[in-house]
Amino acid sequence: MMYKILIVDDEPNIVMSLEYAFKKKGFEVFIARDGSEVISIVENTVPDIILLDIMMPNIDGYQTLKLIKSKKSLEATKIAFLTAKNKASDIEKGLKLGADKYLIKPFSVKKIVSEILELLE
Amino acid sequence: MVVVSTLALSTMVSNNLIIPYGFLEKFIRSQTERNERYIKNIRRISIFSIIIIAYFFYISFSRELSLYSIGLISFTIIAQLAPSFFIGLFWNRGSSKGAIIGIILGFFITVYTLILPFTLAAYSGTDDFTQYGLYGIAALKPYALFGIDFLSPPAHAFFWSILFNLLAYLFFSLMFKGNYRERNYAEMFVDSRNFSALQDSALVWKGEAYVADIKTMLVRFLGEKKATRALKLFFAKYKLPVDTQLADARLINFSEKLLTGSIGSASAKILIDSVVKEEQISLTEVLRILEESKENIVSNKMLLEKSDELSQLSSKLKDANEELVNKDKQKDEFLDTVAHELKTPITGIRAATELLMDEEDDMPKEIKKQFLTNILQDSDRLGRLINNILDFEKLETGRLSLDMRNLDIQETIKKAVANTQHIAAKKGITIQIKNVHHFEIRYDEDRILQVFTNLISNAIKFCEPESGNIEIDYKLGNEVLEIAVTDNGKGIPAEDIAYVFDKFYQSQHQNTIKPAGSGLGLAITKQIIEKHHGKIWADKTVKTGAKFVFTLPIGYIV
Repeated sequence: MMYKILIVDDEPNIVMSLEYAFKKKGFEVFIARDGSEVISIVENTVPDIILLDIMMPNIDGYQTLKLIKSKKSLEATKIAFLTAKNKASDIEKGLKLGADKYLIKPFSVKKIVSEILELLE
Repeated sequence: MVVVSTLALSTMVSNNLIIPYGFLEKFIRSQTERNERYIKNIRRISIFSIIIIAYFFYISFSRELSLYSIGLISFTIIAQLAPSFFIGLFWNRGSSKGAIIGIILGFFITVYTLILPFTLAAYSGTDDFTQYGLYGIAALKPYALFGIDFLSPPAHAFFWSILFNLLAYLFFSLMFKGNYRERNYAEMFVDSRNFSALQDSALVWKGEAYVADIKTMLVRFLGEKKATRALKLFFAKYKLPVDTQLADARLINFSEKLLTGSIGSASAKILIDSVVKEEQISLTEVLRILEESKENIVSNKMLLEKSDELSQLSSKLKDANEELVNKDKQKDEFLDTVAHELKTPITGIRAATELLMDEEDDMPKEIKKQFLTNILQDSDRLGRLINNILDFEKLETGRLSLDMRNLDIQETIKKAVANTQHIAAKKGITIQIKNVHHFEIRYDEDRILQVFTNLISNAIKFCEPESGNIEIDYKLGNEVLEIAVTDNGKGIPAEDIAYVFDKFYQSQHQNTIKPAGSGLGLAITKQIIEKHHGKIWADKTVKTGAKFVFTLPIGYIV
């Protein structure tokens, strides 16, 4: 089956690498630059996984997570943070908010892909 | 005249002689009404007696003596008070014993040398006593004592009585030291300036007296109603609780004054003494207590000041601590942001490199090229960021020293434009220098170039491609050169204007594609301008685009 992944990040260079890697693994990739773009995308699509950055303009990762959690249609969607914030307190906060995984930048693309696949299976 | 002096005299006699030395015991024991009656009767009797005595005196002596000589006799007798009175003003060693003995001695000498001769002459009709002296001793002749015969009788009597009085006063004062109270009073009296506070509301008083005792006494002489009212007034005046048990010095003074009005000061003093168990304290002790209390007050005040100071210090410390905590927090936030900003390009580089290295993957050429471009971009960004962070840190900690030179601003602007021209041209944006005049001013060229580069890059970033236009202009202001960089881009949202110079503040509305600035450009720009003692601001009045204005002082010389 074909997984749908929504990558939420404001850094185009990072997004490009992730997009390439996930597409290679057969994912259908959606891209949002911040929370507001997430909203418009999930209106029409229900991704299997959302890869979420935290430090973004307008609506940050935490707020976006809350928005996602409030959507009934996204109940089955897994959520993984992918962020440079790597303090223990940040990780705790992210998981407490309901993220299924907390991944840290900089990352190995291969590892990210395998972690996400593991989460989905 | 006779009535008035009789009344005055009788009051004196009753208040100072009869009551204190004869009837006080009785008064203390009996009832209020009876006391009042007694006092009145005593006064009446004194008045009557004085008139009788005066009458007999008139009958016996007035034919022999002129009013003039009676006056001289009175003067001589009254003059006996002079030595103790006048010396007592300045000599604190004088004692009551000395004064009394002196006065009595003087009085008897006056009687012997003045009153006795004419009294005897009036009754016996002879002047043997005057002629031969007592028992015929020549030295004891009343008008020529010890052979001094060249003075008139009043002057002679005055001379000898005062002389003996004086000598007795001095001698006995030196012989017998008065008791502590007397000495204290003497001290206070002689040195009144130092003790005025002590006399009036002497709080320094060691003794014990019960309010109840004093009240009983007051009631006895003033009546229940008057005494109660007086005490009530007293308590109200000094704001003391009505149920105060122990009397203090002020109450003692107050009661004494009250009693003085009805029974005279001498009686009042004796009465008050009877209810007060005074401790024997000498003046030195009083002084010490005074000193102590003064010291206490002073040290109290010092303590108060110290505690004020301390609380001020502690609040200052608290503020400083808060500031430190704040600074710490800011520093943390700054470091967090720096870390994030550094990690972002590294993440991009790492991810792209990893993908490029995968030999199994048959990556299309264009994508490969794009990844390589990204890596280059991220590397540039990283380098820029590191430089900016170092600059910012140097500027913020004040470790950066400016290389000030006299330079032509026109040339510097041209250099800045040349540096940024290629980026602008790529986007189809034009840069114009409006002012063509040369102007020499003092600044650090590298730093001001950095300012121009930052401002121009920002302008390029926010300008629409192809239609974008950037203008650089400068004019003379009030002792400053005012330089403006204006663009026709989308401008700065009103809510961001206050924050554009904050480090890492990137507008929420910034819709440019990353990688963009480091978030430090304007913060560094501001620091550089301020280091040059200039100012920088974003002009709020422009309708389209953004206008950054900064000043450089003309007279600034380093």
